[in-house]
Amino acid sequence: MTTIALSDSLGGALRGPVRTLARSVALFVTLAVVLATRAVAQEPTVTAQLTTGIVKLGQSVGLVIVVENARTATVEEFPEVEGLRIGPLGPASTSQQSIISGGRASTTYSLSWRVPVHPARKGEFRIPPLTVDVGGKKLQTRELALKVVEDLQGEDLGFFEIDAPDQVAEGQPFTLELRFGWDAQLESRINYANLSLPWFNGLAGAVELDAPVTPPTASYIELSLNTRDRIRAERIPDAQHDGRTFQLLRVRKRYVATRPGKLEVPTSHLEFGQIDQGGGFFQIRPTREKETFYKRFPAFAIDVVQLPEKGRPLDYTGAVGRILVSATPDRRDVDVGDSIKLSVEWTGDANLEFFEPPDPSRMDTFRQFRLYGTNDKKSYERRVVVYDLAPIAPDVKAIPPIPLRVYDPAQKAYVTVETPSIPIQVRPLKNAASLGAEDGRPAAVLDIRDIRAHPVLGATKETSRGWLPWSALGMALAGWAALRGWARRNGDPAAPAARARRAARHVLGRELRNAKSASAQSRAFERFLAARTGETPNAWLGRDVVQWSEEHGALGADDARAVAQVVARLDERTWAGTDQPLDPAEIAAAADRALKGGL
Amino acid sequence: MRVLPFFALAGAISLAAPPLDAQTGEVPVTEAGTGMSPSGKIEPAVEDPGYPANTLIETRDRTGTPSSAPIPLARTRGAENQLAVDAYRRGDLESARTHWTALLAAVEGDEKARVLYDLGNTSFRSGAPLEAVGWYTAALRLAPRDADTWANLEHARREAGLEPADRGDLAATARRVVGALTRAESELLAAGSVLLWSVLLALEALRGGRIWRRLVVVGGVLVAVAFLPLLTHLATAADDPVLAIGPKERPLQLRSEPRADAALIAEVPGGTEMERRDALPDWVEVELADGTRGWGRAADVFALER
Repeated sequence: MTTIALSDSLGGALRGPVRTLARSVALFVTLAVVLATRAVAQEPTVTAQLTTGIVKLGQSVGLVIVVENARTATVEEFPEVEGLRIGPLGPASTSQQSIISGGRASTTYSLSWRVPVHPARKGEFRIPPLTVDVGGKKLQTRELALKVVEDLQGEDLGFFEIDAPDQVAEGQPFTLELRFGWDAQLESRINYANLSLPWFNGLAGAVELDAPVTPPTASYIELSLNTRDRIRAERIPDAQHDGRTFQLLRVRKRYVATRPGKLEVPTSHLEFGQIDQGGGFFQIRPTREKETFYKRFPAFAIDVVQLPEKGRPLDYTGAVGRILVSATPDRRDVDVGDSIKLSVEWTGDANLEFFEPPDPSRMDTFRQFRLYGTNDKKSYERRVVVYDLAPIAPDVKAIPPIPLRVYDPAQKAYVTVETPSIPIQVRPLKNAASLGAEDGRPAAVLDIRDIRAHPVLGATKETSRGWLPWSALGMALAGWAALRGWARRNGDPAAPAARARRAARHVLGRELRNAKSASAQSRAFERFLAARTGETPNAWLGRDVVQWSEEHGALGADDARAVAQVVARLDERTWAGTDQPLDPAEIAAAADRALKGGL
Repeated sequence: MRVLPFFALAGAISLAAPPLDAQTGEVPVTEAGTGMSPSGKIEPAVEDPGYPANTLIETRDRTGTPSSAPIPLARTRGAENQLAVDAYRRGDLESARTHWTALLAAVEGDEKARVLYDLGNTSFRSGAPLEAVGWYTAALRLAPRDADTWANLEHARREAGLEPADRGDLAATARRVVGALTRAESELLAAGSVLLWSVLLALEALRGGRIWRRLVVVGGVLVAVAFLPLLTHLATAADDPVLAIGPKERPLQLRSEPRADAALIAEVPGGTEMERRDALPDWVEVELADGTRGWGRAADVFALER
């Protein structure tokens, strides 16, 4: 079943392709999440917890390491903690769970170690994360806190109870309610409290759910959790116990058991008392305990029973608990094909967030309906699925019941919770008859396009020239290689000198246009000659062009004389004092003649 | 309307020849009188300028196997086409199929694609959408951008219960774009791109420098893109492609030997393209894309190379 978590407003705003796209995206995301969740579920996990967070000096504590979804694992060397002796590590105890679900058997394995921890002195200790090698993959536990005290006094001054069920079914949510407090007469002396709950955030075999909602008028106190975190506790009315009046607080946590077996909850402590807050003007006095009391709640276990295979319906989708259902359509009088939004709400003490809602498109009773989609909203207290249904025949008289198979732990049996049958009126489409041929007008249908009666003039067979592109490619590459080799025999054509030589005539023309004097023209002409011959411009100062040309065989005699003549005339004007520019065309003509002559 | 002269010509030449066996696809030589134009006037017989007269026709049956010997064409191809059109219009689909099949062997290029298209329509109207798929697919091999053929192919595939040839997703769109050119067009595109690239190569060789080198690289990428259609043709080319046209309830059964009691090694759903490896009377040996080879009934196989 597709589950789409869109809000009503958003769902209402999306129409047509956008809505289809959104559904596709939501389906994809849901599938990805489901697949990822399954993948994660099969991944090995490691948890570690102490059997108690507070211990009296001289007593030892158990460090329990559990590896799930693995058959072998190695705990690496324990970290050194000054004041604690951890170990030795004994052999692992293994457990194996075989589950047959829907005719398919699956087996999960787990390993666990119980390692003794001996405190050598009082104080607060942090046990760093432990490393466990699972099939070559290094997994780490979380950091653990342990407090060692000289004496656990004050047992009768405190109150600490944990309400928990003795037994739950696999997949059944349950609540742990912690109620704790201290003698009301101590109120003026109590300025701090700490809950030492080694199982908090790491209850192996269970997944934590959203906490139950508390009334908005409730007041809260924030206190310390495992000496490093903070937790909000709800104030509840004082209670009498053993002739004392206790000021009470409450914390509630919800879990769902993920596997059958024992769910171990280690010893918990409430620590309360008075501390010196430290401070002073310069905050130089450290915080220290003046008087501390401890109230203990012993370790206990919750028995998680496996869902029975016997009597399990084929369409069971994982609902566990006691569930009530209601259904409301958005309208009851529709035309054929019109959408009816049927809102089905499941409530009760059950795993409402986890079961797969029923899929009407797979039910025979919904054969005369088309399911356009669903909108699924989950919370711990209700599950609302809006089915977008459309009756496809005018003889539909009611929306059939939608059944949900539920395992009821109280009855220890599978039960069916179903919506009531909801009467509706379905009217045939207006003008539906006119779409058919009954009124004599033909219906519009899709058909092939007509034949082409006329021959294609001048059509000839296309001749394949398979050799053409490949030979062209070969020739292009070969020609490029040959041309490149030829061009580079005299140096790199991209070298600055070569580029300057190619650009010399263009540069000369530009410089002559800007030259305002014979000296500027002379410098431009020298730069031109230098670029063409690969020399420096200074080399052409006062050079006898005719003689140079004869020596190098660069130009013919007439061309050399023409160039020499221009050079001489430019020198004459430059050094005669007037510096009157020569006609640029005359210089350009000499340059062109030199180029044609082979310069 | 250029069809008018064909009526007269067809009428003039169709009196002497006997009808053709529809299964063997041999040339028909008689056809009921269609010698008058719709207006009832006798038109002079004029040769269609698109058809040279009196060539030999090599006929093929529906599996593409040549018949025994070429038969001299006793009339022009324009007349043959007109006979087919007339037969089709009056609902004589078998005659239309016979005339167009006969014409098919004598035409080339776009005209052959047109005749294949018309044969596809004839098969579709005859209630054989899978065979129509075969004709349209064969037509698209010659004219891959023809919108009418694409439209009719998709319609025929839908009627035959097949997936659309162009599903509209990214892969299908890419295939359609790359396959929009015929083999010859792909070769010309590739050669043309190399020609343009040669200019860049020459300039790079003579001038050198970073800019020209980069232009050559960019040009090389464009040449690679221009070669894609040709490479696709080469990769998907089959010497003798055929299409399975067995209906859904009776798909083409491939057997290890050309015997009805030989072991069944595969069932090929209609619309699957394969390659023909060998042929015997009533049996064709084909090879699937995964390399499976087997013998199937010739009647369930449609030759795409026409």
